[in-house]
Amino acid sequence: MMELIVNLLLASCVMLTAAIVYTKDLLLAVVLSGAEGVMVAVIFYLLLAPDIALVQVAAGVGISTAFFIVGLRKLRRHEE
Amino acid sequence: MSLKDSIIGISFVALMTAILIYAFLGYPEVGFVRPLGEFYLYNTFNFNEQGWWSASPNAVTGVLWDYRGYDTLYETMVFYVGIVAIALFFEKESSLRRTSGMTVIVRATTKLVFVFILTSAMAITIFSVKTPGGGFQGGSIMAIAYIAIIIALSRGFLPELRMDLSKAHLIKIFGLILIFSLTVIPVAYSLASGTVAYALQNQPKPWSEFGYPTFLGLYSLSGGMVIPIQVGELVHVGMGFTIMFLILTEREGKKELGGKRS
Repeated sequence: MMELIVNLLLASCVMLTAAIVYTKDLLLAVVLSGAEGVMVAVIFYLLLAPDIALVQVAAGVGISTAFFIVGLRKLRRHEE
Repeated sequence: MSLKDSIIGISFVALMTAILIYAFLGYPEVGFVRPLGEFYLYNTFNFNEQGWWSASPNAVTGVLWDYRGYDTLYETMVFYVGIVAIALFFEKESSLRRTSGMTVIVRATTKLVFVFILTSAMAITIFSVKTPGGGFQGGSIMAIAYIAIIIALSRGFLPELRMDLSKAHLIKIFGLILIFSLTVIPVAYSLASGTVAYALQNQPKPWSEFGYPTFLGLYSLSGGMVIPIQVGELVHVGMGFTIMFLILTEREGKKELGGKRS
């Protein structure tokens, strides 16, 4: 059961990565990468690494998303 | 995006997937513990044989700051050097201008949530000897509290929280001094008493009597020096990320983060 959940989460991570690569809206890409980070955190939690899950949620989702958005403010939002 | 780009991207994804599948093939069975893991599980919180224990109920924290303490110490140093590099290259005269920020609902909620986030950061750090967590996790969460304040209420709100760039630097250095003094206290003890003690030693070893007090009778929390050193890491990491965010959101132009200038 747990393996099935982990595999489903990994598959959706791959799909989200494809969406991040193909989208033209850079802000949407940042938000999607945050969503992918949450899924990775759930995978860490299910694989019995709650410490790493905490780091992933705080640094990988919160802080890096904020930094990407700050960087994005100096660029244009849409890729041509 | 051209066909060539797509082919390159898809082949990279396939390569990465193959590497990950190969890595998972060697993943051990559930319940299998390697000899090193057995050592940690047996010794970390063993009342009856305290020769190699770390006095920390959470084995992960025991490994992080006791058995593998130098690792974490150098990680802290790498983080410190990163912050120093960013501050050297990008730090300008900081202007904490008050702007209107976001809507009143967001502002009121952020003020409330700020307190909750700070409290949970402290709890994750201090209770890390019992539950999952630690200084880096707590510090990242603390930084998120300040980043939320900066985004929702503008940088100009920070002085009302008694916080600005130079104060953040000071608090970060206080955390570093805490970590440094806890590292060198055993060395000073060794020099003063003539016995053997090592830098960053937490609990007594069979040939070395130095150990930080454990308070097992008073609190159920313990870990010797682990809790204070985690608090040092908390302020270091939290203020470090806050400084980075403050420096990176400094604008030369007109627009401030979160609304127009009032």
